[in-house]
Amino acid sequence: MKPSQTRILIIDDEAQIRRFLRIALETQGYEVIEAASGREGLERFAEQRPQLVLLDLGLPDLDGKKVIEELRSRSNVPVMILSVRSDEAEKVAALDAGANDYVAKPFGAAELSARIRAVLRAHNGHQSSQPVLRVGDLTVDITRREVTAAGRPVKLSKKEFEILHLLTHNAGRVLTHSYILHTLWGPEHEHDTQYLRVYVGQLRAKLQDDPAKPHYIANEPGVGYRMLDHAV
Amino acid sequence: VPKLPATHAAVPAHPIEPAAGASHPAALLLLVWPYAVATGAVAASSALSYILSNWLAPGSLDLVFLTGVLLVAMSQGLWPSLFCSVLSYLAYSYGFVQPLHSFHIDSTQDWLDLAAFMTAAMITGTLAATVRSQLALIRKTAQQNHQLYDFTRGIASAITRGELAALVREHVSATLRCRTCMLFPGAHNRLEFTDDYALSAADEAAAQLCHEELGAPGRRTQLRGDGAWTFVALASQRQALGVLGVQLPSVGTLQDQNLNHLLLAMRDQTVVALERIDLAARMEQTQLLKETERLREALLSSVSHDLRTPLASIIGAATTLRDLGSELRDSQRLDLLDTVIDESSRLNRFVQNLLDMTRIGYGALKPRAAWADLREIAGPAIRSLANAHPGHRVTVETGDNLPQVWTDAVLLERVLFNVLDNAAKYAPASAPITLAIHCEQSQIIVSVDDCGPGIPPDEHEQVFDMFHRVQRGDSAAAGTGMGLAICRGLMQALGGNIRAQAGAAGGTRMILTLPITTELP
Repeated sequence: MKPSQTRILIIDDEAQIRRFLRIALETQGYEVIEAASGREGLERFAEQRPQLVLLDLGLPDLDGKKVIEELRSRSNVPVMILSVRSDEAEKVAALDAGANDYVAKPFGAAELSARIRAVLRAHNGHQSSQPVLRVGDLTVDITRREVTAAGRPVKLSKKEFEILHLLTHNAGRVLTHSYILHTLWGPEHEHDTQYLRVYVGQLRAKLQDDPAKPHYIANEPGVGYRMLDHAV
Repeated sequence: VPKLPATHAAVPAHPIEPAAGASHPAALLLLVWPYAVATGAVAASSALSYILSNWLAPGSLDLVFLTGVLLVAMSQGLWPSLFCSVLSYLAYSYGFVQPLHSFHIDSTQDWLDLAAFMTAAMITGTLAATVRSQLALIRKTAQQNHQLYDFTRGIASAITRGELAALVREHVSATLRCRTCMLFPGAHNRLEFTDDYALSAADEAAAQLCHEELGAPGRRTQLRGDGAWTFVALASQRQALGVLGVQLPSVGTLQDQNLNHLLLAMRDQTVVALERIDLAARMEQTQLLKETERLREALLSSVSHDLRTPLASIIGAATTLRDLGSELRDSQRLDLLDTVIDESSRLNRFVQNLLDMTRIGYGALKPRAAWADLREIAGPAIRSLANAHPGHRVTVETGDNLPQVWTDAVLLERVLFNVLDNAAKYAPASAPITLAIHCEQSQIIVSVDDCGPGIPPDEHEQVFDMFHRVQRGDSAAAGTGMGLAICRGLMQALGGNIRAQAGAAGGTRMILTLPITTELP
């Protein structure tokens, strides 16, 4: 899919933010639709079916989380949160409500573009049907359950492999602690963040990934983990 | 352990107590007076009987004397009435029983009459005197109840411990006619003594002991100090709250059961009031902490939102210019540069507001007044608004002969801009904002009308509270909710004021009043 075919809906009440987003995104070949409020955004979405939604959490009429829920009830369109809030709980709530990723304001044009590409790529799932996932120099062979990092084979336990698989599958996207725990351990372990921390620690050690300068798995404090996608 | 009082020097009789050792001339008169009344009553009865003897048989005249005894008993009590009956007997037997002019009595009939008279007089006197003393007791109790009621009602209005202490002392002093003191514990549960009470060291020790030892429920609650002070512990079920001291002029005062009960009743009421005040103070403290916390959060969230929103646009526009510069058309490049400039000015205004708010908060705002024409001040404010909200139109209506105003033009322009900015934020761009300036007596009145949704009447005052808007959540139009609060702060610094009311056309009308000439506060 070429970017020129991709329509992006911006829902933000700040005219200046919409103005620069429109210029930046149009220059990169996206088609841009704007909405200044949550209700207008939902209308535009119904009319024009964009392939991605950029959503500000602090809207004048509707709570951002409410907008996500409305969108999710109609489609699985990727939603990216734009928010000045640095409140981690707010981000987690938005992600848990169904948002795919977030960018905290203020952000640069390049950072936003990279995130948009990662979200679109993961969503369009051009890797999901493949038996071997590749992110940078990391390969994950799903059928044979084999992992190589920088050409070197890595031996993983069952849970470690599942975590790596989940992160690689969503490469470039942040996954919340509770999402990972819910998916791999079940709903009753959603809050056992300590479990996850231990497993990810082991995983990083085996991948020889330095937590201070991660090459594969980045920590988003208070939110979750992200497989760094160097390709985008 | 404090010393119990040594012997007390002779103390003048307390007015409330019966005058026992009457050596005072007035007290002597008080003592003799009832007997004089009794004597007078007998003289009057004799005179009346003498007149009536022309028509009545002498045997009936004893009724006249009996009435006299009854009246004396009612008005003067038991002993004067007994005195009166003996005297009446003598007068009756001397003046009206045969043989006349002698105390000698002849007939058995007369003896029996006299015996009956004496018996009747004594019984009537005793009964009447009992009624009288009961009546006096009832009156006294009623008066004390009334005092206690006044006391309870009085201290119910006390809001602080100091007020309560003043009221309690006033009432107790008036009731017991003595000096009083009220002491409260400070650090380490030590009572705080002031020089006003001039307590001796022994008294202070006694008060402290009373506070520590007698505060416990079920203990003796009174303790005598050295200088005729008696201390009463003010203790609730849970804690000792302080000590009430009374300096009684005589040892016997508190042995009067009624007064003692009254003092204890007043103590109980005081304890209840003290507990109430304590609780209110603690609740207020909690409330204050909560309020401070809420304001702090509102400030943080508002500053974070209002600083970051323009910054996000600036950084976004600038990085787009840098990263995609070569691919941008000229018009797009200009658009992005406009964003950077507009958002920088918005940031500048916000920082200005923050500074103003801080200066108002610290009282550091010093207006620099000069003669100014309001139309000249409105001009720049309207131009700034056109930059910030290009879609909005402002129409200006001014009366003729507007006088010059002695004011700080810079601060006033900021107020006008904030009010216009607020109107533009809430009102649709299609409807004009009206700015009217006119002169009324010694005031200049500026009103700004918008066609926005209006403010509910009950919020006309609240909109001037700091962060009023933010309290409603992050869902309203952009802004901190500082704008109008700053306007009010600035207008007050300029000696004027600002208020909101419903607009003529359905929106909001902001009214600024400004004195034409005054010394700025």
